[in-house]
Amino acid sequence: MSYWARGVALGAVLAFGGFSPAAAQDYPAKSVKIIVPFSAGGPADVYARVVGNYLSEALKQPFIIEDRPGAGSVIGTEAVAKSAPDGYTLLMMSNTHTTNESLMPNKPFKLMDDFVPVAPVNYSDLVMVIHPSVPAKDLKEFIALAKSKPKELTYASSGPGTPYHMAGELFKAMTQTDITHVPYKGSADARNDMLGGHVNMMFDAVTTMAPNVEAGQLKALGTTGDKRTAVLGNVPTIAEAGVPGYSATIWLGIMAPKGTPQPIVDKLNAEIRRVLERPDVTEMWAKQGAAPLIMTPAEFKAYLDKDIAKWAEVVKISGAKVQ
Amino acid sequence: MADMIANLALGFGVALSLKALMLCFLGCLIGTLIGVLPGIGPVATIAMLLPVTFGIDPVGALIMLAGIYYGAQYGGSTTAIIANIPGEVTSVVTTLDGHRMASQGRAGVALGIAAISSFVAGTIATLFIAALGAPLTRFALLFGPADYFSLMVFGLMFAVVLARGSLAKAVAMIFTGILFSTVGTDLETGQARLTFGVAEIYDGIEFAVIAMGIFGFAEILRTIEQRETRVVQDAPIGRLLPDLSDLKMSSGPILRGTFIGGFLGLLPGNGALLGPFASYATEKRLSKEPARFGHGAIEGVAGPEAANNAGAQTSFLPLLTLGIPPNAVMALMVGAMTIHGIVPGPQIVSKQPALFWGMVASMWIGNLMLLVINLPLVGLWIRLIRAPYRLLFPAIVLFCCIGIYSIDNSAAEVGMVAIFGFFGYVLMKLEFEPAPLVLGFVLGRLLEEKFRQSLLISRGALETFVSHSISATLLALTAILIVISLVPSINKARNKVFVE
Amino acid sequence: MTATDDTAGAGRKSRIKAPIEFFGGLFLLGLAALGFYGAIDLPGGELSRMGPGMMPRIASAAIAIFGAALIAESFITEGNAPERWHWRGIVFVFGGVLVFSLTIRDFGLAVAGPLSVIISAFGDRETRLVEIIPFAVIMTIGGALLFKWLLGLPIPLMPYLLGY
Repeated sequence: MSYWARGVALGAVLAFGGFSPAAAQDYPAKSVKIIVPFSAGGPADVYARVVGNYLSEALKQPFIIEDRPGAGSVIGTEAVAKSAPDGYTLLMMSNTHTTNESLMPNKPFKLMDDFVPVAPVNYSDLVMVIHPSVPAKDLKEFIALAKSKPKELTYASSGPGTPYHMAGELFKAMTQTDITHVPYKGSADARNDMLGGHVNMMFDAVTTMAPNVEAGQLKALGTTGDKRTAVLGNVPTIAEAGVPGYSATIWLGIMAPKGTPQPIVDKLNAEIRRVLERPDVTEMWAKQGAAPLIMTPAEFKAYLDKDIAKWAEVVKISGAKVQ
Repeated sequence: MADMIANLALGFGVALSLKALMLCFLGCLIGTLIGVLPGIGPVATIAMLLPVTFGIDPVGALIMLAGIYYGAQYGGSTTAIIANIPGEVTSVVTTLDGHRMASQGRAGVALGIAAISSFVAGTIATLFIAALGAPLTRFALLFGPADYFSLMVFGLMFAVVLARGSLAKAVAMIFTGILFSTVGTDLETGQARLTFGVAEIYDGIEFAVIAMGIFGFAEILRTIEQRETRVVQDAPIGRLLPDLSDLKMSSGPILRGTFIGGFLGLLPGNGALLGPFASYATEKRLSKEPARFGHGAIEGVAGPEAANNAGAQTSFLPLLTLGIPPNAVMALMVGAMTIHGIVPGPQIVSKQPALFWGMVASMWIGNLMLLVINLPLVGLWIRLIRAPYRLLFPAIVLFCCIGIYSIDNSAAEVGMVAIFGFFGYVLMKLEFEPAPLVLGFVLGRLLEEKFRQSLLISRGALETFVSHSISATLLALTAILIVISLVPSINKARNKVFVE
Repeated sequence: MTATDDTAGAGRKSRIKAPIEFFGGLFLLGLAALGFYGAIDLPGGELSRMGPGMMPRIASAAIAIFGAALIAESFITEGNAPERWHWRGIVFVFGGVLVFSLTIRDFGLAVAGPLSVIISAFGDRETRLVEIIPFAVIMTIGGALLFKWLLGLPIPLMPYLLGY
């Protein structure tokens, strides 16, 4: 009964536009919606559900995941930008958002102006693989080969503007090579042509590629993080194998509409940190090739600013654009 | 052979445990439910259930998810037959004769034969996977973009056979479908195409929106009109289930459909989509009375349904042996596996034999369960469609709206159904057929993608389509088919001229 | 483009022998024009290096050719007139769908559900209010049970009252 009464009361308060800012200790007083601007079943959706599950447990209110894909994440993101900044609508975001800042200058929001950073969630490394038919034993040989045959080598990606494409463009920019980009719709299609040897090179998630590398169907030249991965421990990072400074991971984070009270942001950040520190979560994510990423809201903001600037540079060099 | 029996025994040992059976049953039940409901598909449901599967052992989790997947295929045929709404690309063909049978009072026979042919196809496909699945997937890797492009060209030929009426109008509809498939961001440059500023279609038009509009809603309006303009006699109830003569007529189509669908399902990149279309085209070509097709021919339900289910089954192979998920549902299953630390790939058969053979065995068990779940439901569906139409159709409208909304939680997509519904109504009035449009829509996207990928790889050399042997063969076959189908009509035209 | 007035036209012994093909042809030409217009700013590229505008233009051109052929045929071969349009069904059924689309986000299923059932039901002449109102309520409850509770989909029920 009290649940209903509270719901009605809250509804009335919301309907008339008032919300007391001193509500951080009561937060959340009703269900919280995490909008995922990507398709159901994608990594952002799956990880959001894990985080949402544990947040529901900890904060005693349901955290509902709502997938609103479309227009390269713009539809769902815009919906959050337009929501009330009360902590009851959150955005699950990824590096798609930081690259879109320069790929899509005309979208109806600016990430750092319309949102406040809450907390990062996790990151996953990529691996660069080549087909065994490509005559290169290691990364240095591959770079030399690519330089000797400009435009002749090809690399597959899961579509323009995706982190996999951007990782490739970053590689080309840093090594000054010209490798032809062959876009696919989704990484499964691309992987198929990679295994068949129809394309030469590809960046993809470490976990999905590991079995093919172990079976000798593909050769791993390097991983894209700052440290080697647990799954493919004997594969060097691209930075150590010949391109110092190279780093391109996929990561996820949570943001809230601009104007969300700081106490609520801090409370969410603390609770998310507690979820990320759970050993069962860490272990489960390690199997999926992801590691928790823990930062304060201020640190996350600095991280986002740096990421946006980095990809703006890559986009400028490569000339890639969307829209 | 002895190997295969030992393997299957291992598999059944895993799949026949009480827990596995219950999970399989649960999956099939949920799958049937979401398959029957229009709009919402297995992807959203499986995504939602993923956290639930954390607590279950990996084999059990996969058995349940697989149950949802083929349960949804079964359920989808039910909606295609009773409401003319194809939930998936693969049930488009089932609407052609299946819904026609239902309006002739043979809904029970159509539903029954759909269930039986799916079961038979599932059984054969399971044995097929057990016997020679693994080596065959290596063949699939030979298919590069150029070969895939030519396969799509070949596939477009099916639309010509699909047509009930004018050939020219059918081909015009194929191109309309291709035009619709180009809507959305460009694969290579990311530019927005034909979106007219509508953000909701930047990722392309949702298949369910088109299918529900031009099939489902056009059919609702047609039925309302018929009720007004003429006294509609309630069709006789008819038999509840197929009889021996039905089964006899269907046995050939089922076997051929299983073979066609099973083979196409092996091709990565969702070759299974083509299965039902190919089977329908084959049966219509082979039939002594092709004119019956499109007017309630049971072969037109049996063959494609068998192809559909066989393809759904064999498309697990690229996933389990190469680690490549052929569609979004399978991609989710990869997610479910990795949560448990199992990554599907080339070594799964040798490293995880219990998982692999347990899944294969559970496929057959799942098919048996679906037969058991679905045959008794036939009576329920028939009672449902005999409800007064003035109540039935508003309920269908409501469930379509909720279903479409649930796909992307998008209100705009619901509005788009109305637009495509109106479009479908105009097509109906002008006697254009929707099936070739849907085929064009599905194949058009792949056609362009593969064409452009081929040329990027070959650096602009168009010879790539003839220098690859599979591609060249397929293109030659297409050319032969065109000549064969044109010759009789040329003759006919000549005769006509002479008669006049 | 409405077909209602052309049955009369056919009766006046026009030169169009197959009105349905004539209108079908016009329809295709319209579609092709829309396709060309939508792709107007897109670079076409060439066959070996296809741009984003190439495929829409090829498809539109083919549609236009078939449209023109249908129109030509309509002057030569005898054919039917298109059936009359049934506006009652169109207005109410699609009206119901549009109302659902406009109300679901702000008012939830509790409002959008019954409205869409009741409005679309008036597409049929036999519909009576006393019957359809309770039916609409029952169906909405059924839909909510199925989609919201059984399948757990995030469909808004009564956003104003419950907050979801």
